[in-house]
Parts: sequence; structure tokens; C-alpha cells
Amino acid sequence: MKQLFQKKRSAAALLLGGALAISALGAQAATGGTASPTATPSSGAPSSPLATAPSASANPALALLDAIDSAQRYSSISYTGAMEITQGSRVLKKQYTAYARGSDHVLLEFTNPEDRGVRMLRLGASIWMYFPSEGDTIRISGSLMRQGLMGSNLSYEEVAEGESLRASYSAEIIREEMLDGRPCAVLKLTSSKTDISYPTRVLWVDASRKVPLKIELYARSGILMKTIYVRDLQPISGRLLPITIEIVDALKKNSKTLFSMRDIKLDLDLADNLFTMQALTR
Amino acid sequence: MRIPTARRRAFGLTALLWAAPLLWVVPMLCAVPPLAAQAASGVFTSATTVSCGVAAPGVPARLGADEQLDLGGSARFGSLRFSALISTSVSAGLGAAARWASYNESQTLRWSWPGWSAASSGGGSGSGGSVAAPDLLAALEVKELAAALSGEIAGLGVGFKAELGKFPLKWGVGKAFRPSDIFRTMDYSALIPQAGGTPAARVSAYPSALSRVEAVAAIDGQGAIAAGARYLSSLGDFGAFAASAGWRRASSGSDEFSASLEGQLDVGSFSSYAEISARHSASTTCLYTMLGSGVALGSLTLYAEGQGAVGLSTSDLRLFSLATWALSDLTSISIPLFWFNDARTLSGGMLAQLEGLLGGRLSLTATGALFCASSPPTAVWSLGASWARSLSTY
Repeated sequence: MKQLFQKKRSAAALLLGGALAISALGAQAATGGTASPTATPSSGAPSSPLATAPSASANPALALLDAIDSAQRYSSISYTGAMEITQGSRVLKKQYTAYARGSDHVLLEFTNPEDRGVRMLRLGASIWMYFPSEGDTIRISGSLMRQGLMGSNLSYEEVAEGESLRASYSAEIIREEMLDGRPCAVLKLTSSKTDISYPTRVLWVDASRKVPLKIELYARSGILMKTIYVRDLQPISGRLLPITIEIVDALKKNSKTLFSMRDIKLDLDLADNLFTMQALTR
Repeated sequence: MRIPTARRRAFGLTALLWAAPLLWVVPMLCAVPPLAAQAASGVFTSATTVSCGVAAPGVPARLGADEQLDLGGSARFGSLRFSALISTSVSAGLGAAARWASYNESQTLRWSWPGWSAASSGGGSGSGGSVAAPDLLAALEVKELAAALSGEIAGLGVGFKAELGKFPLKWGVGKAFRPSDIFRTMDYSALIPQAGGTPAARVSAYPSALSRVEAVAAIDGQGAIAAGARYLSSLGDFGAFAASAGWRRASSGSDEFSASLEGQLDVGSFSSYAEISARHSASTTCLYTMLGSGVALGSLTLYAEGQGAVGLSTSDLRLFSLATWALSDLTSISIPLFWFNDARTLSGGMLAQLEGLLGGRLSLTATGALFCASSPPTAVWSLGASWARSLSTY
């Protein structure tokens, strides 16, 4: 686990891996420099996803992950986020401000009336919460990690995942199909690791724009746990980013969370002391 | 119809209490322009509760109601931050009895009509004492009123924070029992214990990203004074620990010195935590220990916790368990249970929370206590429904 602090994490992993919706939460930014020239947003004429994958790689699936990575690389991000948790006819809305640097420095501050002042700090795989009503900092520990972040469909465990998909999974393209009018390559990622949240992931990747549009997460038993849909993409500072993401819990009836981002700023100079216990309790 | 004088006074006081938050808002808003607040926000919330049950053994069951209005807010002026939370309430019947029973002598900046004091209630702590609870109770409490200054110690690159006022203060890692908490701010009248605010001064320094050193001095409503220092640090991805030492002078004038260790460690899916606190007063030295563990089994989260003492005439054994079942993202059921061995008392209940209902949160509660020390054992119980929502924000 320690090496997570040093491990560089791809943007593909940000978008596809771990929390998936993390980029919607704004929770994670890729380590690395500025955008690759290939990252220019393109509405691109539909073409074969396989044809757009770099041919240099022996495995076109991994090459596709790399392409997504380079297309969406940024060093830091800040934005205003909103989550809309829906359970049947009941809807709970929350707002927050997010700052992230590298792959493992994240600070969220909730701003909706019910949770105003509640903050979350993630450093590597370590998550701390601050609740102003009790003036208490709480380290989110093993048993709490599987609970949803502030009641959402995104667990703390998923928020804390920092390892790149490239490092944890083997990948193969299992078919090509249309999704929302876009030709997509369907990638199946599998992992033999025992400490991983989802041993199997299936991704629908719009290869011409180098963005995933849908991801399915499976348990070791093969049961579908969650499905993530990218509902909106916007060009931000030369990169095409998913700004609205929906997580649908397959195990809970009529349960989903919509994450959306606005006022996005990339590659900011975020101070070190923003990601400290002092900032958490300020 | 002629309204009794006592009722008229109660209604008048109620109107005054509900208007009290405005007296706080106006100066706060007036203070903003000259200081040019960089960020100011507030929220006005309401919680309406209806209940029924038996508040004391042998008393017939009755109904109750409670309306609570909270006004909270904060304003930041550069590195200076002000925060406040004022709560007003009007309770009747069982609602008044429940609130009366929650009062204790350590609370500060709280006024009620009729008035409550430890002396008039026979000195009972947390029980409302021997004075019967009123049928109608109005209260005003300043739960938080504090100023905080944050910055960096020049030349050292170490962050600091200085706070003064009444604010939440919580030492320890236990869910219910915190022997290392020398400030004794835990409120056990709630179904699930929570820390309350206390008048205090605190200075904190942050030597690293996930560590904090703090020195605190606090006073409670009974005149007890406590002061201490604590160091809290993360243990990487595996846990956290804290060490503290402090002094507490009770209102009677007796001094107590303590030294404590707290730890939290992840072992697989289990999260274990413990506290050990050595306390020395003029005639005795005793050792308090608390051990707890939590585990998540699907949507079910379980905690179990126990506290005991060595060196006292009693074991002071206390047990606590908490089971929380997340039925969905917006609905959960919690079942807390307490066992106080010396008092031979079992207490607990059930709390169902439904978020996002009519723009607020609906809480359904069932609470009860069984007093096994009496013969025959006696019991109290209550059922309640509470709906809390934000009325406005600014």
C-alpha cells in the first residue's frame, strides 16, 4: 500500500479505474505534465475504435488505455461539484468544492446546508473526514471504507483506490459496438489480485475521442455491482473531460448518484498546505 | 376563553426565544462590510418532533412535542474565522420531559424556562434530578460561538490555529466511551452519543500533513476546569494514534491528573481502536481501558465497545454496541445498546433515518431502558418521529 504514495497514476485510471466517478468528484488528477497534443478534443467522424488505437503496442486494449491516459493528463484540478443521490422518488442533493493534485492529494469541502463545513482529505490511501458539528477529525478505517461517501453510490474504498488500471489489470478488446450513436471498443479488464474492489471491469471506450462512455464493475462472483455512465463531456483547457457521470447501483433497486462538475480549472498551482490536517480543520 | 397566566408567559417567552436568532444575525451581518468577509454563510434549520411514551417508571404514558430551531453560520475574514450556532426550542409533555432529562450541570450558555439547575434538581447528573419535568419547557442555548485564527509560524513553516469561545471539543477514539477525554463533553442523552460544545481556548500546531499538537484549556457549567495537551498522528495507511496528558479540577476543588494513549488500527476488514488512561487524584490511582472494534458485512456495519476500570471500588464496566443497516443510500436503521454493569441498567433503541423526504430527513426512534437493580425491574420507553429540514440559507 505504501507504494501508492509514489506510484504515478494514469488519467485513464482516474477516469476508468478506481472510483471512476472520481474525476466527477474531482477527486483525482493524473500526475504528469500538460496535455498531450493528441488530447485536442474532437467530435471526430465515427471510425473503427481499433483503428485509432496505437499500433505500436502488442496489445491494442492496453494501447487504448494509454491513449486515453495521454489525452486527459493534467497535474491538478479544482472545481465546484454536485451530487444528486436518488433512491426511488427521493432525491438528496449535495454540493462541494474539490481540489486535487497528482494522483493522491484530494480535498473536498461540502457546501450544502446540511453538510456545510464537512471536509474530506485523501492522502494516498488514507482518508480523513472532518465534521464541524463535533469538531472531530475521523480517520476512515477498514470497516467504514465500504460505506458510501456522504451517502452516495461511491464508496470511500473506491475513492481511496490509487493504483492505475494498467498496473492492476490485464485487458482485451472483446467486441466493437455502438453506444449512444458512437462506435465503441468494448474492453474487458481482469485482475487476479485479491485486494481489489472489482476484479472485472468492462469498458465501452469511444476510441476516436479517447474517452470511456460506460463502465460496468463486477464482483469476483461475476455479479454486476455498479454501472457508470458518462452523461456529458466538455472540452476543458484542450482536453475532453467527463463532467457529468452517473453511477447506478445494480444491487439496490432504483439507486443511483449523479455527479457533475462546473467551474473546472486545470493545472493550477495548489499549495502544499491545502492537503493537510490544518486545511481539513480550518 | 381566558388563557392562564403561566401559559401567556410561556407563549411570550417562546416568541422571544424564536426571535432571538435575529438578534444574532443583525450584528453578524452588520459586522461584515467593514471587515470585507471573504466568505460568509449560514443556515437556518428546523426539527419538529412528536413523541409518546413513559418518561419515568410508574408514570402513565403520555404524548409530547418538541420544536427546535437552529441558526448557524460562519464568516471568514482572511485568516480569521467566526462561527456560531444558536438553538431555541419549545417542548411540551413527553418532549419537555426528554429535554429536561438531558440537562446536566456541565452545560454552559443555556437558559430555560422554567429554569433548571443542579441544585434545584437535587444534584442529579443527566437525569433531571428529583424535580419533576415541566409540562412546557422553552430553552435557548448557544451551542457554538467561537473565533479562530489560522496561519503559519514564521520561519518554521508549521501551520497553527488558535481558537477561543464555545466550540465542540472531543478527545478520544471511542464511539461511546472516551476515557482519555478530560473535558467530558460527550452527551449521552442522545440515542447515539455525541460531543457537545464547551467554553475553551485551544492552540494547535501542525508539524506534518497528518499530525497535530494541541494545548487546550476548558471550563464547564459546573465550574470544573480542565487543561491538557495532545499529539495526534496518522500511522500511514494503517491507523492513527494519539498521546495526551491533562489536569482536571472538579468544582469541589479536587484535582485529577491523567495520561492517556489512543490508537486505531486496521486489521483486514476490522477496524480496532483502544484507549488507556491512567488517572491520579489525591487518594487514588486508577486505570481506565476502552477497547472497541468495527466491521462491515455488506450493508451492515457493526461496532462493539467496552470500558472498564482498575483501581476503583467498582469495575465501572460499560458495554456498547451499534449495528447500522443501510437499507438503501437514503435509508438506514441503527440499533445502539448500552449496558452499565454497576447500575445494572440496559438501555438502547432503534433509529431509522430516511433522507430526502419532503426536502428533509425523517427520523423514527424507539428508545427504552430497563433498570434491573430495582425489584422488580422497571422500564421506561418512548416512540418518536422527527422531521428536520433546512428552512433557509444565506
